[in-house]
Amino acid sequence: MSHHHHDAPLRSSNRDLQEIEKKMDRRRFLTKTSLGIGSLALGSLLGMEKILAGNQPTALLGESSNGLKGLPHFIPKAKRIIYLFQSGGPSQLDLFDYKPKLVDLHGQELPDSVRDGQRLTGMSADQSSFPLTASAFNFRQYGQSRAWVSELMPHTAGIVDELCFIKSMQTGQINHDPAITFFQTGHQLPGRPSMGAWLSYGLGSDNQNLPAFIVLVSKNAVQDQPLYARLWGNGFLPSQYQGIQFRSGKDPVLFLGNPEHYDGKDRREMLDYLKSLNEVQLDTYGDPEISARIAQYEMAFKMQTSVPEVTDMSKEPDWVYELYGEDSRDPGTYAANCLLARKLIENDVKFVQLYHQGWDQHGNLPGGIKNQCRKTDQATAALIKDLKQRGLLEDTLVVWGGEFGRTVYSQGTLSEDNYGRDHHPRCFTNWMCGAGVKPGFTYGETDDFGYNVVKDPVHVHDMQATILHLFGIDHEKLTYKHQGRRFRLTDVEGHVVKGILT
Amino acid sequence: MTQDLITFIGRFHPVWVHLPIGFLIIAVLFKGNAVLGKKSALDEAVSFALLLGAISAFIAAVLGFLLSQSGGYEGKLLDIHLAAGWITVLLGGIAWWVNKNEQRFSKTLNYSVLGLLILALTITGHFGGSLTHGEDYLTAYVPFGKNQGESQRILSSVEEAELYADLIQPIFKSKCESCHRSGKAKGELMLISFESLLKGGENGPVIIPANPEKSELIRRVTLLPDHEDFMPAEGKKPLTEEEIQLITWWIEKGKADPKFTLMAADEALIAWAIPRLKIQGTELIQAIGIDSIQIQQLEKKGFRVRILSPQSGALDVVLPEEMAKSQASELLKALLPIKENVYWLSMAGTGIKDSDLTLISQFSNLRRLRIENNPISDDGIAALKNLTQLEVLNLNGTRISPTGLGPLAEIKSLRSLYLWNTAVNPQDEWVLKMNSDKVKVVFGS
Repeated sequence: MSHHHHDAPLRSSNRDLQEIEKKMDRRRFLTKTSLGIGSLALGSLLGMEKILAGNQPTALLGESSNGLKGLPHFIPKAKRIIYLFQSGGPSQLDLFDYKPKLVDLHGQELPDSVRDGQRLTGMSADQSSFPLTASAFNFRQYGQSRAWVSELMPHTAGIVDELCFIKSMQTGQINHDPAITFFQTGHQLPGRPSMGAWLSYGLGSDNQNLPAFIVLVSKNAVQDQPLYARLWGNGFLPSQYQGIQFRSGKDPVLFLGNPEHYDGKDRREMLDYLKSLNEVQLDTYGDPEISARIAQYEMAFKMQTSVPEVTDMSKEPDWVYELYGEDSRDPGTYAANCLLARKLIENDVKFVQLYHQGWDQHGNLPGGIKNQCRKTDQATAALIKDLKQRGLLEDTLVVWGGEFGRTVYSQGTLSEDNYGRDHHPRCFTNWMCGAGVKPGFTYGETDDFGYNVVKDPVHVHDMQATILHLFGIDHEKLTYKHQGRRFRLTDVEGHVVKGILT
Repeated sequence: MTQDLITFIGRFHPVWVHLPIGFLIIAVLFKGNAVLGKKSALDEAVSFALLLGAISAFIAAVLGFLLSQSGGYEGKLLDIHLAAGWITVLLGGIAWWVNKNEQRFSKTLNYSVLGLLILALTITGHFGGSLTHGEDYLTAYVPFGKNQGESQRILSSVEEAELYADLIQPIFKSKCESCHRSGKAKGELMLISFESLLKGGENGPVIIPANPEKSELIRRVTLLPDHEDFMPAEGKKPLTEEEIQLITWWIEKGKADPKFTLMAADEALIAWAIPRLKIQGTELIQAIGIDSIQIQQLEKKGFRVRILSPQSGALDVVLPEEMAKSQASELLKALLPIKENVYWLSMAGTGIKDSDLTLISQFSNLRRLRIENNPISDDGIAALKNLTQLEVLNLNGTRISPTGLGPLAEIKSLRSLYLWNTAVNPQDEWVLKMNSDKVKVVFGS
């Protein structure tokens, strides 16, 4: 402590505090300027700059990659998750939610009492008739759990004793973009962090050489509805928590390979120097995104080795390809992505998010859905079997499902062998499997029309709360303050679905 | 000058008070001994001791009164202490009189007076101590109390933390409050709450929001320690540099807002502040002796260590295949200091041997054990029966044989056993017996 300290400008010798001061200044600066009273903050920012010049930055980022202190809130069941997102809204009525009474009611009008004044989409609201439509596919019960599965999914039928069906899923969103955004971020409007970003922000990474959150999009799907990078984005969380998309083909991650005629030998040296330059900028401006950028360069460097290793399928024996189906030999297909997901999970990647588009059958549903199932059913079941035999289902959670369900009435004309189904947010079926979830179990019920939930509704927020719970996180306590309020994945709602937990 | 003299004399109060305490207690002890042990010789000393006690108590009371006039003491605590002190003097006198003329009074009266005297003495002493050391000095560390030792509140998460309440007030509490509190507000300043801090002292406010340079509090704590105005005064423990920086930062950047939360600041501050906070659970992990340095050292050796629950100190420890480098047996020994904390352990494909399983069998809290794809056999696996909490055991790709399975039946907690790629047949008699609603034995698909 120096004499006349009070006369000198106040300064901090503690490095962490200096970091805080700088970032505080920046944040305040931006906040204030955006409110039009920035000059005050600017003064302190410039003053602070001089004081802090020449200090070494600290490795604050290293700490954040290990997750938040105090988490998990309790002992988790799940360590990793594979989310098999079936984008477009698979028809629960043709896959899992068997409604035998519809056979008799087939072609009759949907009673007003069932619809109960619900607003429909613009695509079918103007229809003069809403004919009830029984599934064109046969259902049978399988396994010891006697779960109903249609003939479209023979392989999934073989693993029902591992699955926990939730037949009472509900969402508030009736169109694709808001509904899928809702599922992935807890809110229908873009801008919130995705589930994977929340998990890697809260729990960090278990493998320092690979991103904690990896996204795989099927190349062999009908791309009827678009996917957006914001579905796996970081929102307002620091950008190192966003999902990294692996692509099919020669370069799984874009711009990771070395340019032609460059052997990469001095890469380390180059990165170290680049880092020191970035640190000068960080020192000056304290922008946390500079920290994120440094971390991302480091991760990219590690990924130059780790990604080719983990995506190398040459060591997989033939029986594996037979299990996952012939598609699995073709990188980028749903089946190959399922296989890759297993490899990523084996390497302790925390969140692997698959997307398979093409489930949006407004018309020609019987043909379309058959095609969808052919591309996904075997690999999905193979993934579960493979994870199980390796013991990985113990701590890996698998989730299957889309953003909403489909209507019991036919969109367009109901003919002898053809029909379509519109979006239906009031009920649909998802399944979960693995870590901490009851195997061979069905939760929730819909009415005989497959229109309304009659027992144990599960809202999207409830499922998100449950997933976080399985990771040992109290969904109400994982928050991030942004623009003056605390945000969380489940917004202001969500209840853990205790009924499906082991 | 007179004031100085009064203060000078008054300050003998704290040392003098011990005289009447000693005299009066020894008088009562003599009396008790005389009554119970029939030692008449001590009985004769009782009234003399009481006389000394009463006189010295009177002097103590006068000194105490002078001290109270010297400033810095006021309020309820002082009033009670003062009143109880005078009552003690009075009771001491009465007790002396009664004992001197013992035969004129009933024994009941005599004993009652002595009892009351001890009670008054205790009350006086307690409130005197509270005045000097702070009101919760005595009770702060009661073992059954809610807040052991500290008033710092226990947070359920970082999100709840406020800079003032959770980080700054505890500093005031430990470094300033013994003099700046109700009953002893030196310089008329109290640092017991945000309101009292804002009110300031006899020379006006001590903090100016957004302006630490002009804040008297900051000036005082950053002077040279031998400066007249330096705080904490009288050689008490000064604030550390970090503490000063934190308060400065709060005044400047937080505009001295009491509701300024940690989350409103920055993740970096959160990381910095957490060790200072009492967050539910984090205490316990310290209590069982795991700290981040220990974890870092294990990570340097190649382990991945993840906290499963800060509350219980449970850890998930993984040794990745590529990090084992045929050193798995050696590396495993590094886990021994935390063997109680390892709830999940994966040594899959690391090359551990039968002898290593004896070591693993000491990990008494183990719930999940992955030792698949290792050259381990029946001999080693038998040791695992000591793991009484084990729920999941992965023996895929090991050399276990049907005969080696027997000991595993002793693990009552077991619910999943993986035997894919082993010499064990799914139709093996033991497997069929073991496979039940409770235990699942899993083979390849």
